[in-house]
Amino acid sequence: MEKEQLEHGLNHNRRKFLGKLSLGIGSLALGSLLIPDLFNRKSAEEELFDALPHFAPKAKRVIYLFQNGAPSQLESFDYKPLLNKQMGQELPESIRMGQRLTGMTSGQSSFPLVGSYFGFQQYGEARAWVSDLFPHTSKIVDDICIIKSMHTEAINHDPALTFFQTGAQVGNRPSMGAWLSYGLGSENSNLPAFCVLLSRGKGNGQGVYSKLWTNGFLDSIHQGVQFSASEDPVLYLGDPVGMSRADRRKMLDKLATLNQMSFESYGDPEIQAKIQQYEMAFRMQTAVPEVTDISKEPDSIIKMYGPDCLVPGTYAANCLLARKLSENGVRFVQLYHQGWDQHDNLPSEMKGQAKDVDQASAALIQDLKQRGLLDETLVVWGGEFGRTNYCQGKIQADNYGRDHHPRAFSVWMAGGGVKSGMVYGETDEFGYNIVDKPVHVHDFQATILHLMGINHEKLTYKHLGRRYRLTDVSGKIVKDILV
Amino acid sequence: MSIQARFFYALEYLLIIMHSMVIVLILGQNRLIFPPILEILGRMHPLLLHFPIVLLILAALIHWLGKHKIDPNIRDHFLLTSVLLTGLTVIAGFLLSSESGYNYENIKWHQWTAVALFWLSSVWYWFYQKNSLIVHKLLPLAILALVIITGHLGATITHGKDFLLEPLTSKKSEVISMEDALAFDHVIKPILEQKCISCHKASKQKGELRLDEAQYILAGGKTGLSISADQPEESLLIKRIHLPLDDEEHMPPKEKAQLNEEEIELITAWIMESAHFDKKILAYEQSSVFANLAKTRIEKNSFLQYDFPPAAAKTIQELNTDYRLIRSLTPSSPALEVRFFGKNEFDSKKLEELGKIQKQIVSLNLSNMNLQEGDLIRISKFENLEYLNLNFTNINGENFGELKELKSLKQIALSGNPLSEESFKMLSDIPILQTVYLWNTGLSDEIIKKFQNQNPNLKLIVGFQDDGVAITLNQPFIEYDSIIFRDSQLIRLKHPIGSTNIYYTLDGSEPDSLKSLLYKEPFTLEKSSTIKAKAFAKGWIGSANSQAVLFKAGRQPNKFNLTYEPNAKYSGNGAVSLFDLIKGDEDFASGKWLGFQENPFEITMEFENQDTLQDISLSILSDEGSHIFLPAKIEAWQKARNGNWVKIYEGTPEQPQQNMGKRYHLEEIKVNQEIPSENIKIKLSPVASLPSWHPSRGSKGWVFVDEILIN
Repeated sequence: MEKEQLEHGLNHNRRKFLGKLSLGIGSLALGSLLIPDLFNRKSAEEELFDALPHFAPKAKRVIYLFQNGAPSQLESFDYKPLLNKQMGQELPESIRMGQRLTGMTSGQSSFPLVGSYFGFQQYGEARAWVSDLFPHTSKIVDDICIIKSMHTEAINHDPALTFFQTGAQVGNRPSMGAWLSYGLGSENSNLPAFCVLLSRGKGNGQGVYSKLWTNGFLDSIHQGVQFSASEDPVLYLGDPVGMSRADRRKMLDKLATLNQMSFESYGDPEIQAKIQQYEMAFRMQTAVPEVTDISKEPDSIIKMYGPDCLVPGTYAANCLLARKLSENGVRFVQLYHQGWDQHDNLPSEMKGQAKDVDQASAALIQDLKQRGLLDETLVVWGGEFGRTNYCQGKIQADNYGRDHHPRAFSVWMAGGGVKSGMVYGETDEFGYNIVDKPVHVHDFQATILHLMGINHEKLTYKHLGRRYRLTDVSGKIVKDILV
Repeated sequence: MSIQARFFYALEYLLIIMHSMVIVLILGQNRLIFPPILEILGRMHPLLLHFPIVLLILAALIHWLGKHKIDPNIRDHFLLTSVLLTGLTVIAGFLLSSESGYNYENIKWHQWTAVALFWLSSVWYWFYQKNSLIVHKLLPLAILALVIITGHLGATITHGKDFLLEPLTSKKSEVISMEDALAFDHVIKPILEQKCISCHKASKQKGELRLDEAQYILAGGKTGLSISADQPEESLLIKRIHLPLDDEEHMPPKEKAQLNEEEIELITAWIMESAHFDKKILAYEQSSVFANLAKTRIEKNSFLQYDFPPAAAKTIQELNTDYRLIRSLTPSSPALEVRFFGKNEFDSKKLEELGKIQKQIVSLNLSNMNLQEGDLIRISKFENLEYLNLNFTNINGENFGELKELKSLKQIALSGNPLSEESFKMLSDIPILQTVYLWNTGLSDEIIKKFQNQNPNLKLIVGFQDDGVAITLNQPFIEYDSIIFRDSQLIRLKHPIGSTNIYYTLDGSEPDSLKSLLYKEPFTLEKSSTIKAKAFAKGWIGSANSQAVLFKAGRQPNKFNLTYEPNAKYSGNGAVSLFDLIKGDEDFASGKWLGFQENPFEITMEFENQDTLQDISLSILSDEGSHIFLPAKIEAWQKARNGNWVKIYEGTPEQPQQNMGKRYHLEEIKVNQEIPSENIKIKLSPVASLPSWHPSRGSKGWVFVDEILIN
């Protein structure tokens, strides 16, 4: 690409020649004086190559099951019987240690501890605690690695979500999927490398926006492609009524000829990129319907994922679709399930949310496993932060709520080079602070990149005069959870 | 006597002195102590030794090929110089060996052959004039042989035993399987061999330390024990590694290759975890840091094992298409991975074309392609194949027998293929197969169990099995054009699972699979109805109800008039919106709803044919969070064309005690058939003051209406 851009720059027509004459050679000379190695620096491609694996990566693809809104760790994987014992007592200041609060509980005069209304049992060889809300997940604990010591910097949804996805709290950086598409490209050139699937539960929800799957400053081909639940999973992909495939082909061939002529006179590499994108869209017209067709899945698949998997737009259907996309070489499939923001009505809402996701998430792991794909596919389940150990509002017999809590929360990972049947990290008895093996969001991102065979410190892109990376200036690989 | 001759005699005396020195050195051995200055001479041994090798060989050659062509004087000088330098080298050797780090056992042969060489060459020199067979034929031969033997023995001391023949004898870094890997032999020792053992081995024990065998490592060296189990920070081995590079004690010495971070971590973790020598890697706990580092290392090594040549880049490029991905496992590996995409683009020829890279394919993924049984024969030619994915390729495996040619195949995925028992059994012939994926293959548990018993080392992944426990079906969908319809509309019932039966009722009663109607085809609805539908299927629990309430709006008033205009923000198309048969949606600001706050909702309607009027329903929204409540009061009047208004209805709907979210209501008003009803008036009064539980208690409530249905 760089070479073509250089050629494009050198390929002058009269207009460009006149336009650049004034600044051209002088600034070139000045530039080389100011920056001595201007002309022998590494090209972007060389830099990219440095970041790539010189050993076989463990994971080739990622499926990220984002639980948007932040599911409570205290009703899922972080069992804290002390909270039940001290139900209603004040959160000690020695534990809170001045943690900032959101506007939703900062006015509260009391912070009464509240324990899970749902029971916990231990499962698997790791004897991992899983709440009764997740009966299917409890059956796969031997296939997953539960990290109980995640922590983040943000305390509100949008910055926290953006931080998880792009490594920065403000939204102008490329998303994780875009970085992987940039670093590793697509396996299947008939499908986008980065696909996004949305679903919504009945619980209190928070929005997701396309900035979460943005390409940022990377080339736009790395942007996440959102699949919709309608009959057209990818919008505007179908031919208009009355247009045959042969007509479309003819049209594209003529268009390509015109574009080629234009390329020959201007030499702008963007024109070549355009031609390739038209061709890819043409191939997607057959590839997407083939992948998204779930009518031929065997009956047992429906039993695994739950019958909802046949209802487009549900989390279960998205999990099934994610498996199919991943199986067909899509590098990064990003799911969002909304509705996990239980400030209030936690017992009833969380029950519904868990029911939405539990069976299908477990089925996805099992399905990948029985196809021999789990070893090369990394699956991640988790939200953007955790929830407080104290109640938002008043504790009632059948109702309580929890506010946002960035200091400790739980996620799980499975497959692609992650240890299975492991519980990593520990929080204190109150479930408020991490006492063992904290994992920062950047550590988590570094680990995912590592599993994909990428050195997170070297996968950079130069933009506005500096090099950017997903993990900004930090990130340590969590070696203990690697196989 | 000329100076030249004198000098010559002096040299001959020197030779005699050297002989006596050598004898002293032999007798004294390491009982002698030398001044440091002599140590310098000793350390010149590696330099000096090149002279005797070259000169003595040359002397022998001259003797055979040209002793008559050469001036005897020069020849004698040459021979004497050679012998003297041999002596000097021998003496230097003795001095060097007296330094610490050399074990007599290892150098004795070199020492004795060297002394023998010195003696024999001296004898040859002194008796050169004698015309004897021994001097002319045997001595030079013996000397030549001794030069080679001594030289080789010396080189062995400095470079190691196998140095010379290593290129021929050494196997490439031995590939060890995870199952057999031992902590010391396969992980720690290779590191020590690379970085430490050249100075700490049988033949060269610097600091009296040997690191080549477990017993010596445990014995330690001059400075003390090299390792203290469980305490890496106390272990000399680790301490020395961590000293600053310039420290004299730092190991390995700074001019030698240093240990890298990974190696240091490995050794540290090994000592930390009790420094086991014969423990298997797999015997360590799962959480063991050492075992995990070791596993990575072993895998990395086994990954580098490919010894086939890489395929030409051009060939790979030519074979790469949009539907066939070929790429290296890593940028530098000759091993290739091949994947196919696009079922409709695949045919056997695409597989056959891979013949050009059949040596290099290590991983092949054909999942979801339509394979022919014969394609397995093509696949069996990919001799280095390790991973084969044949999920859902529609093969029954009659040619599985061919796969036994795949000597490296470790993993085969066969999920979703209708396998026969015969073909399944043939898998046991694949030599090093480890894992088989067998989900959804139609093989019975018995067959799989039997096969597992016969092949206990194979890992068979059976996957999800329907345990027969019935689960609940999801609800069917009720599809219709509009909630409100004029004359009739078509209703379709659907369920995503094709094999279900849908039963429905139209009277609001619970559907069941006995008495209710079975849905066969779309049906027409001609009156307002509540449709309830349930799905049933064999092996499943019946679904929950789906419900749809559909309204028939049979009539429209001939004239209608709103007494007060709706609020300007929610005025839609004015009163017309109430009769457009368009149901309002969740967004009350969409223009489909009419909103009233300051003024009540009051409408008068005029009908020409009043006889058929039966009831009037108002579709109302409530959403307490947005201040939208049910009306505080509902009133209705009737009157004849020229008569007076007669009140026929007054009601106060029950208001909620908390925020209930968006809900839709239908308020039905029966028309009084006994009095004329040419004109009808309806009034909905908004809540004047929101209740005390509401955050905006006291302010005025809203009334939202979207449709009036008249039958």
